[in-house]
Amino acid sequence: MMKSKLLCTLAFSCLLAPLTAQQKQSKTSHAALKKAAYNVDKFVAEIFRRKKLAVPEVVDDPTFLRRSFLVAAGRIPTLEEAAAFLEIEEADKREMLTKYLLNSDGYRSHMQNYVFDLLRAKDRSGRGEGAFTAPYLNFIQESVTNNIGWDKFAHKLISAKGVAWDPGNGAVGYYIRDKGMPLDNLSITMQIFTGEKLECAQCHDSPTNQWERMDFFELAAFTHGQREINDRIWQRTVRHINDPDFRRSEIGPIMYWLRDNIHYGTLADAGDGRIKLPSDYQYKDGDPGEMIGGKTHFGKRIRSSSRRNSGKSREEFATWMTKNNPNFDYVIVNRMWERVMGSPITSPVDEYVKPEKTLNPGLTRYLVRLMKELDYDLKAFQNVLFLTRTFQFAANPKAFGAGVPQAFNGRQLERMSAEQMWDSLVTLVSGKPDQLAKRKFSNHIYWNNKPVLVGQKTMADIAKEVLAIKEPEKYRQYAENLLAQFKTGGGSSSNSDMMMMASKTRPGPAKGIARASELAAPAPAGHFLREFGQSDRNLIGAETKEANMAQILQIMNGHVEKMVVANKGASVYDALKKGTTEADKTRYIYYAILNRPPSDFEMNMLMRDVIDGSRESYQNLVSALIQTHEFMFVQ
Amino acid sequence: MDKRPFFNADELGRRQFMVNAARSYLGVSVAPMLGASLAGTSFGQTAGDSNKAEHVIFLNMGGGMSHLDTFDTKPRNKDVQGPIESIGTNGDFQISQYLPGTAKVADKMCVINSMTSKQGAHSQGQYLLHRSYAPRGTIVHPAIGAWVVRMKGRKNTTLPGFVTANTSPGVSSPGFFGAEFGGVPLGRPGEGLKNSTRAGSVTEGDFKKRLAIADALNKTFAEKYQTPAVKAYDSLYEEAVTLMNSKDLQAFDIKKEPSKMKSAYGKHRFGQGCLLARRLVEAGVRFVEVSYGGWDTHYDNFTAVENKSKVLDKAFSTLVADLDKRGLLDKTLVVIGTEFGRTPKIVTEHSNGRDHHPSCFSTVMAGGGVKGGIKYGETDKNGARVSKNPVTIQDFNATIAYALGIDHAQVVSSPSGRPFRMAGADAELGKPITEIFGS
Repeated sequence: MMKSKLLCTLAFSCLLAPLTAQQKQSKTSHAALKKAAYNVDKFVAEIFRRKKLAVPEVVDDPTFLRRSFLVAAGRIPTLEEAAAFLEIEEADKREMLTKYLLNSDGYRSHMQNYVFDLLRAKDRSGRGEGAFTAPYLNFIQESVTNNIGWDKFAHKLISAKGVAWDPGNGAVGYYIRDKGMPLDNLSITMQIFTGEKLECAQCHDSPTNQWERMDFFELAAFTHGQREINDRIWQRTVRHINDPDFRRSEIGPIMYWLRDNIHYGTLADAGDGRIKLPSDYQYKDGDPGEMIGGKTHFGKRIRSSSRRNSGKSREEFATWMTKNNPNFDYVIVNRMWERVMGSPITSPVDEYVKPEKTLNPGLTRYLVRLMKELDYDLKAFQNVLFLTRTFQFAANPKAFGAGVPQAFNGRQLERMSAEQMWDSLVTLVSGKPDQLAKRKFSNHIYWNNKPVLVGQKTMADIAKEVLAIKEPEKYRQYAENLLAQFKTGGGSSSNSDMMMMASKTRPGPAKGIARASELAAPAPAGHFLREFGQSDRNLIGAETKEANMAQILQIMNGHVEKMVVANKGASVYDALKKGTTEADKTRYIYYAILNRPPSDFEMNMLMRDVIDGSRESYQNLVSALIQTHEFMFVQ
Repeated sequence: MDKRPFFNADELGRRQFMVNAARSYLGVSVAPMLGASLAGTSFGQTAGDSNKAEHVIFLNMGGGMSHLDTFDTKPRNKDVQGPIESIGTNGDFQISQYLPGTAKVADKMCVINSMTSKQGAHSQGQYLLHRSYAPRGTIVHPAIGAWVVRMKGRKNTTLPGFVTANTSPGVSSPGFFGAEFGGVPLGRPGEGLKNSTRAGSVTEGDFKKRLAIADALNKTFAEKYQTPAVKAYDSLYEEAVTLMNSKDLQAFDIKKEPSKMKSAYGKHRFGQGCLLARRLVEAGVRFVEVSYGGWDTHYDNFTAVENKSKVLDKAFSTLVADLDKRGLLDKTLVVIGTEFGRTPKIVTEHSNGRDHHPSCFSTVMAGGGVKGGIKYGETDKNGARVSKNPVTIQDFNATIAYALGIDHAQVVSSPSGRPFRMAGADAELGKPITEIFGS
């Protein structure tokens, strides 16, 4: 009975399909992943054996439940999910839970937050309120949803060219995100994908690592050449665009609109493969203004000529970066280890370290090999880690001096991320957090905040028409015609409420209860998410888990009170319907919030001093439990 | 069955609950504790003769403010200057035409034209600006605001010592000093300190009860995990309760200002943030940071700088004049900082953009004992290199310390025993620019 309840709650039907499909692909079959997990555990056990220390105990069911949910799906379990897992005794229920979570939309949502942070993906960026960002963010979202291999994903970003609005071409947003600063973009690429920090070498030989300024420019040669499509024609057409009279003229706004929504989101070149040294180049190995070709300094050595534009150097660079590149492989392994185990194998997570310099070189080499064998399938790779005993190790309360580094010694206690906090509160409200409304993608045309030419033209169509124009005078004529069409083919703005937090081309939840991944990216300043440390997505690693006063006020008097505690319809109060006695009701509230039963001590205290059967007493309990450290920290 | 152990535990639990309940209740029992642990921790002050400042308002121009288009114009060199004209001021220097209000309060400010840094990337540059150290994987260095609160103590013990507006929490975090020294982040200045009063749905009795229950339930967890992160939340709960009871809470509410005043500062988030900063300083907050990002003008520099300068100009000039009128300028150091400047070279293919340029850039100090109408340091004719009196970020932060009478070289150790200073590590330890002080 209990088992069938679990299977039902954990949506068994969803699990069976992937299982059957997986059996055919031996590399990602459950048996293969389990075997890999066993191998990982053997390597980790070796570390403890070498140090003559006992391998940590594994956590109990409630801790495993909560840890797995937060790490894999970015939220706590619902009351139903918690009760189902805790109340059955099945030998393989932990494995079942892992499958359930990795196949849930919660995994996608949580992983998407991660990739958005890494790529500093924003709804609004650059010109035109970031019109190009809709296809870009949609590309990332789809890649995570479809679990595209990390190498293919990175390759697409780095080799991108063309028009953001072309179907399937959103990856081009990677460069447009950093328009005007291609050198910074290169530094960021090197840091996030290859674990090499070159930002110092952008201006001078680095004092802290081996990178010289020449090395930086030799790499920059590959991604150099990021002009907009038809930029010269465009410049000739609108030479007077900054003129206030032109801005105010009837044709002015549509020309701006085309610049911001079409031209801005294009990338004409595919990489020059050569670049001029800057005018302040200060070393003897080159002259200011000298044209140099591309050259790589690790991984496979590739070059490009300084004498002619390559026209495809970004493609070559992307292939170099993602194929048989030890840096690329290790950095993503290290990232995924940190994600699942709480701490990276080596820190900082985005710095390349040779396997022989890591604590257990055998483990590092094995993990890199595994990543490649799994074709950079990050879900499968994380699945292996989730299946390890290492993931289940109890947290070592000693953060330092525990004998074995944190990365292998049980997940260390840390506060939930902003998104985990928010999504956990959403879970307490909705009860079906993975089925809430999601952001979508629209290539409808919006003019003055209203959809126009719906069913007649899309943004992709306009881009095609505009970019086909080769003479300035025809451009103006086109703009006038388009304006006339907009005026006659208008639509309603009835959706405007829905657009409050979402941009028009990424419609979705505007207000109310939705997962963090579906709200504005990033949430506006002052939002609960930002106060709890969500990244502003301007800088890499801007997310933080540090405490501040605004968070406490949110918990005591703000969102937590209004959204959860005082909300009579919040799903956490289903506990009151589910239980018959006061003790039962209290236990279910514990299931919903802390995902464990109360201890005898707690139950006694609560029955004696807190719970008197009134709604207020339960509200007090719900509020107090959310205020506990145990709620806010992941064990 | 022997029930005594259980009985004992139960009794212990009851006693603990009552003690915790008392401790968590609003009011007197909490405030003295805070007085001892936070307000009384000041140390390391030096006896400078110009240490007039008691407060700092730090205006952070995120993204790298173009020195050439603001405070270090080169009117004779059109090649690097581009279309922006210079205007005279009532001080001994010229500035951009888009800072006309600032020109009128120039007699109260010192422009530092010879800032120089080696950090040409935003995140490292902002980190250095805020913390005097380059980022390291093993520690988070405290932000300057946290240093000031730690070294000077709080002036108003019921309010936070450090408040930030429009600033991401990660930028101004207290690092190893712990949350009690951290900035309280305000997302939108107009909203003040959100959630600082009890929700209408909760009675005072229930509010107290909730705190007491949570406190009692936290015991087991806190015993198991004695980590700084957990302790940080404990101390913040106590502080939050004190704050909620503070009679000065209305300092956060700019709605109390006349609409004329709000307009004078500029009705944008930065201007309103500056107005809020003035109110907070008036109420005794030590350090207020107001950020204004978007100075990363790689693309279309001149349009962007014009727009941004206008916002900065209105807010900054009104702030300085307002503080002066209220007699607060002498004891408030107002600072305009940024992580780096921008290249003299105008990049035409990026619609006349300017790239990062850490070799030289400009900052501003006003009030707090700083001489007015002067500039310090110089750059060459292209605005490319410092030609006189270079000032590092560490020197800049040492100067803030000096204005407040803080020993910038005082060592404070991290929990793991590593020594750190407000003005940076030994090898790069900043020196205050003492010449800019005096009447």
